[in-house]
Amino acid sequence: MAEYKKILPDLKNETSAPYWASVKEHQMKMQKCDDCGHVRFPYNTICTDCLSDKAQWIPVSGKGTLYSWVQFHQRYHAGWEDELPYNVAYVLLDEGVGVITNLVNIAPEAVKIGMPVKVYYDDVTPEVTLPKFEPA
Amino acid sequence: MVDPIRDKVAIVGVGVSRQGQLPEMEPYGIAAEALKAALDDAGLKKSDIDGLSMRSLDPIGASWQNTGRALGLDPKFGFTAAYGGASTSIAVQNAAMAVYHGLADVVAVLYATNSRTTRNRFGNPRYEHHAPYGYFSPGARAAMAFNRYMYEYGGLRGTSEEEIALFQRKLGAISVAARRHASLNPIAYHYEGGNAAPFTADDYMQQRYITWPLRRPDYTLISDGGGCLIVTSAERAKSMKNTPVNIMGMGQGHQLRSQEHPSFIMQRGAQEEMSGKQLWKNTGYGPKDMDAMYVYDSFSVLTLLAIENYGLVGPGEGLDFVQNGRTEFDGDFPVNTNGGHLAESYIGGILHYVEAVRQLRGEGGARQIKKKLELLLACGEGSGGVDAGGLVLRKG
Repeated sequence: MAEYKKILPDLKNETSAPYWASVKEHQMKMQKCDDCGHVRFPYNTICTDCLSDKAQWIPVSGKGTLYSWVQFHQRYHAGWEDELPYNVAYVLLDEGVGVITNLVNIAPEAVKIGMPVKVYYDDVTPEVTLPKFEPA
Repeated sequence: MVDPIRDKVAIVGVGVSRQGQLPEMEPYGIAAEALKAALDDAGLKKSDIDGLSMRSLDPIGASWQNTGRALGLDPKFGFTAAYGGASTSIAVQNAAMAVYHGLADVVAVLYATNSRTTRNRFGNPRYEHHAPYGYFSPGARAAMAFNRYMYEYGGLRGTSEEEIALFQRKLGAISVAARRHASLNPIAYHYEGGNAAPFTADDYMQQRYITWPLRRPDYTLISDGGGCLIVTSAERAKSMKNTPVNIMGMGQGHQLRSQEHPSFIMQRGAQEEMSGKQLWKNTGYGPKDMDAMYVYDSFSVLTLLAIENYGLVGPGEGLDFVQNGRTEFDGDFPVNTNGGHLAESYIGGILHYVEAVRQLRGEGGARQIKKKLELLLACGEGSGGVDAGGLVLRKG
């Protein structure tokens, strides 16, 4: 397998480790407040709605809609050099949380803002899985 | 209630350093050059300065304390504005508040950078929830915003290439105006020695994409240079040599939960709209009272969104508003007559204020605004859709 040259998340970052571990297991999890039920992402010590410090990492649906997307033509990093232009998307999950991601299994001309999408787990290295999205 | 600061504080001096590529200089030296120019313009001495309010200098991240030390100041008041592209607007606001409350008599508002020489890259290129997907550069959010804009206002659910091209061509009007202004501004990058060729919408459409749907002219020009404003009381300004430019009131808004919520992309109902509502309430003016606008425009889309978010026109009406030269210096509603970040240089928004003051004084030279010019809106947003600040300025 060719060497993976793109930027990887730092798995030693304790605050986001549960997130990266969950997508590695192909079951995306986010923090849900024990007191008010608000789902939040990225990691935060306290609930951004009710200030409670009690939360669990709970599985989320992995379903959402495409809010917007772009295509990178400029080379910013050598890891993406061979894929220009590539897409980056902002997906709004059904839980109300937005994530930056990539769209897969779809041609650029077929991408439509507002389309339903679902998570696609891309095992990019033996240690790291990135949650990408494909048409639902 | 109208803000009691109205007509009580004024900008009485503006200055700029050399601009462009300054490999022999570092940010403190550039700041010193801009400060001297502004003091000369105001007819003041360095010893008159007793306050410093500024965006931190890039890329060294120098605070007001570091900068004040380097410039040999012992001020009564200091403030570092850490609000990204809203920093300069908010630094002017804090300078005005300090003067109004007597914390300082004469405040320098500064910014300087050698980001071109040092090949500084703005933004966090390794953010763990963005970088693994190849999402880099603050301009990508502007591109996200414009694609969403086309969807919301174009009925583009069945987007065709022709429809997208029509939107892009209309957006190009913002770059066309910027290039025309720069061609009349000797310190602008696109002055090109006075030989800048006319730049048209056709030219715009030929430019390469950086992040689709935005092209190179939709992005700023990373530069070396600095600018400085001198702020004091309107009372003291009366005895000074230049026509003062009065601060009429201010507004701010901040959307700190940005990534959780898509409002950060379009800034709807978020920081910039908040800033606008507060600004109109505090000044007693409305968007229709404004004669011109100076907006932090690191990306053309920021100008488009600010025109709508400050209420000059309604959501979805901004692209039509900027057509047919309306925002050029001889149009109905001039915007960024210096060429802005798109065609002059990227000096953290401070050259927009320098230009605004010169225009209100009637010192705009070949690009002096033709229509009646009394009141203008100056504003900026930054930190990737998080912070916004704006002020109304009036000829004193």
